[in-house]
Amino acid sequence: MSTTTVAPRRRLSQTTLVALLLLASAAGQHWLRPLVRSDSFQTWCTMFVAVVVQSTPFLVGGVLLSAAISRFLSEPLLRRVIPRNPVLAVPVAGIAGLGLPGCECAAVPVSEGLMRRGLPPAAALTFLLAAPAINPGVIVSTAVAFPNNHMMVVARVAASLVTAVLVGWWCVARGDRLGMVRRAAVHDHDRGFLDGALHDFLHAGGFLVIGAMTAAAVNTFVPRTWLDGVAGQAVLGVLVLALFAFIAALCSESDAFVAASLTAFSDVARLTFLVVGPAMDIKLAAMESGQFGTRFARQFVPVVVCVAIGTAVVAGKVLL
Amino acid sequence: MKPTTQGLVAAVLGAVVLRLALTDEYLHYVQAWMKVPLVLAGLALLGMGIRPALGRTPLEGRVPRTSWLLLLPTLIVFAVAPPPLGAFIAERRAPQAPSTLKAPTIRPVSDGGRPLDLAVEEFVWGAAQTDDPMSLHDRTVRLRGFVSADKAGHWYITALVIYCCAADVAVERVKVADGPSAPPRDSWVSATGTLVDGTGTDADIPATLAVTDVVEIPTPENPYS
Repeated sequence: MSTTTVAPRRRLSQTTLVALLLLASAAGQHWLRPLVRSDSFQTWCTMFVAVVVQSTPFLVGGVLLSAAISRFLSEPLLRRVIPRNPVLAVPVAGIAGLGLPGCECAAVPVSEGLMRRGLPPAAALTFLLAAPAINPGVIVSTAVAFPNNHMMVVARVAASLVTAVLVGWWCVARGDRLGMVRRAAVHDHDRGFLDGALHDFLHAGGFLVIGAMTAAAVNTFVPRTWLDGVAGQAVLGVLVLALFAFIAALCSESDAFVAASLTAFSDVARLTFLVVGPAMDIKLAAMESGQFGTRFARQFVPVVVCVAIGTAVVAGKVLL
Repeated sequence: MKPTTQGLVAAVLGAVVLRLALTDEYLHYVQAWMKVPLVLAGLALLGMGIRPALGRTPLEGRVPRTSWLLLLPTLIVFAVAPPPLGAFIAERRAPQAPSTLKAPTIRPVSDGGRPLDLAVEEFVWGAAQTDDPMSLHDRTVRLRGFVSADKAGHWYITALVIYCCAADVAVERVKVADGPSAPPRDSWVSATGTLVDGTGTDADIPATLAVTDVVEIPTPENPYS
């Protein structure tokens, strides 16, 4: 990694060295490009940059919104809208998820910003789970992808909302045992608006890159044919699509189209794919462990995945 | 990471995003409607990063080591300049489950004796309908796409459909019936021909075109549909 190349030198500052490295890669592209002609590596690069490019506007929007919440949303106002009791605040926060159009990457910094303003962590996490899954953009794209099956949209929204609320209540019950790391001290009120946003962006962005690297590798190298072998089996089909949703880390606005193309699978399995993906995937898991600490993530990630699978199966049996 | 480096990393990423959006290179990665969000995000990152990068605002607060990874997309764009996805992913993904194409909003109709210009995915959709709503039988069509192949040595006119970004790509392809030899893999062609009867309705028998004429064409600006 670049740290090793820049750490030990003394005469040139770290910033100058990074600038020189970037200039060298730009100036040397003529010689570098023939070295990387491998098809699979180039495909990975395209997919990796694609995920980063697609996510950047949402992440930038998220950190700016988070900075705006920190600065302009007063605690008394938040108290009036959200019930003081966390058990009641959780469902309110879940329904509020309808209002943030954007995908997962925006939701992580926004929920952190809401916590900084005194929203109970459980409610902020509920919002984090609900917003990418039930916002208007996702509802529209799911309806377009399943034109003859409107119950899929209803089941997706219902199962995602229930998942978010159940996990929120679980967080209320766990309380301090969640072991959430909060970086509240860094964000004092005197800091500039843009400086706070920059800090949040760098913090979340590195983890986003880790998630993008993994997702690009999965989408490049894992052949889709291995999915077909288990499509006919009810239980295994559900579990495999849940795993696929986790590792492929598709945007919640586009995953419905991929689900629609997995025609060999049962509707319940495809609903599971749509409920697990926005709630938890490898990109979100990386970002959340960066934001809230690994001890928290080790509990939160598996609980979210299990609750999402359970809710999706129940919703699928009842509604589809 | 030093405060000035933090600013530099953000500002450089902003500049790269802005350059991708303004040079239309962003079309290798995402859909066309992303242009405005990318320009705004690029400007915002430049705005956040430039003053700290020049040492004008002293930043406090440390960022985790993982933030260094934000240099990776920039280095890859500079050093690798990833090409649009093409035959490699199409051949890897091709034997996947049948596509669920939507009906075209406008059904193109032919105009006198000229061949009917269709997108690959429109042709595949039309060929899959048993009642032949686009009356493709015995009609000359012209398809544009890039060349991919299969292990048996057949070649295909291929289109890649993306819904959000290039990571969720889906493959649509039309097999070329025995006849003209394959142009170079990944080259773009315009092929004129007619649908081979009995192909395209079954997932095991891909839509096949009996090609009378193949012309190589330049790679289009937007490589996906």
